[in-house]
Amino acid sequence: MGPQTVRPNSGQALTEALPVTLLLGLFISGLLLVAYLLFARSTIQYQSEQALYCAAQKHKSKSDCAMELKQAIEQALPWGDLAVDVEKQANKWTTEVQWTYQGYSFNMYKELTPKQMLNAKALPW
Amino acid sequence: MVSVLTLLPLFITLLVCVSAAFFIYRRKSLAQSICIQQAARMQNDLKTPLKKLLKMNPRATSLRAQRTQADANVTATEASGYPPAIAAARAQQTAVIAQQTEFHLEQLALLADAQRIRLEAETTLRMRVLPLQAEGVQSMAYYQRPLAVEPKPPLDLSPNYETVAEFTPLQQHRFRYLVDLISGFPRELGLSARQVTECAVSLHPGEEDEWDIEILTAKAQ
Repeated sequence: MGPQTVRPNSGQALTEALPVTLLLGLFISGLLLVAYLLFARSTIQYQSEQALYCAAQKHKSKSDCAMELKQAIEQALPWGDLAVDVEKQANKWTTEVQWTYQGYSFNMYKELTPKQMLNAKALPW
Repeated sequence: MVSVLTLLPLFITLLVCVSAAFFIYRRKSLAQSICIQQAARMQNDLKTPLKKLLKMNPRATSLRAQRTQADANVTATEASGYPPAIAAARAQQTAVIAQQTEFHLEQLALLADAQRIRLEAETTLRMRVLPLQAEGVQSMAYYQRPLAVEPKPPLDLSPNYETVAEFTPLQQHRFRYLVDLISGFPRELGLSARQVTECAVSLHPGEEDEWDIEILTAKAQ
C-alpha cells in the first residue's frame, strides 16, 4: 500500500459551474426580457386606446392627451425610450407610439373614427 | 437539463404573470369599448328623431299663425253678431285646432321614439356586458325629455321644439358598470379586481344641419 495521492481539485467545481451559471443567467435574462417585451406591447396597446378616447374628447387638447399617454406608459414601463404622437382632426383621432428597449422596437399606430366607433364588429378597435 | 428544469417554476410564473396582464388589459379594453360603442350607437340613432323634430318647426310656426288668425276671426265675427259668419269662423278654428293636435301628436311620437331608442340601447348594453360579468349597470340621462329640446312656447298646442342652451351635456347618455377583471381566474384563489367602466357620449352641432358624435367621458378605473 503506497501513500495515497490526493489530487487537489479545489476550484474545479467552480470552473465547471461557471459556464452553466452563465448559460442559466443568459436564459433567465432572455426569459425576463421576453416577458417585459410582451408586457410592454400590451401596455402600449391599452394606453394608446386610452389616448384615442382622450383625443376624441373635444375639451382635451392633443398635447394634454400626448402627455397623459407618455406618463401612463412611462409609469408602467420604467425601462425603454419612448416617443408619442397624438393627432386630432374633426372626425379622426390617431396615436402613434414608438418604444425602444435594448435594440427591440415597437411602433404602434392606432386610429379611431366615429364610423369605426359605430360599426366595428371586433372590439376593442 | 436538470438545471433548466429547476427554472420551470420561474418560467411558469412569468408566463402566468404576462398572460394575466394581457388578459386584464384586454378585459378592461373590451369593457370600455363596448360602453363607448353602445353609447355612440344610441346617440347616432337619436339623430333621426332629433332632426325630424327640428324639421317640423316651420310647420309648427305656420300652424300657430293660422291659429292666431282663426282666433281673431272668431272674435271679429262674434262682435259682428252675424251667425253664419260666426259658424264659419268657428269651423275654421276647429279645423286648425284639429291640425295642431294631430301635429303635436306627431311631435310627441318622435319624443317617444327617442325614449324607446334610449331604452333599447340600455337593454343591448346590458346584454353585451353579460359575458364580462358586469355588475351594477347604471344608465343615466341628463334631461327630463329623451332629447335635449324644449317646447317654445311651452304651453302651445303646436310648439316649436328647440335645442336647449347647454345641448351637448344635457343630451348625453352615460353608462357605468363594474367589471371583475379577473373573473376568469379560479375562484379558490379568492381574488377580485373590480373596475369601474364609465362612458358618456353626446351629440354636438356639426356642419350643414348635421350632428356629430362626441365622447364626453371614457374612464376605466
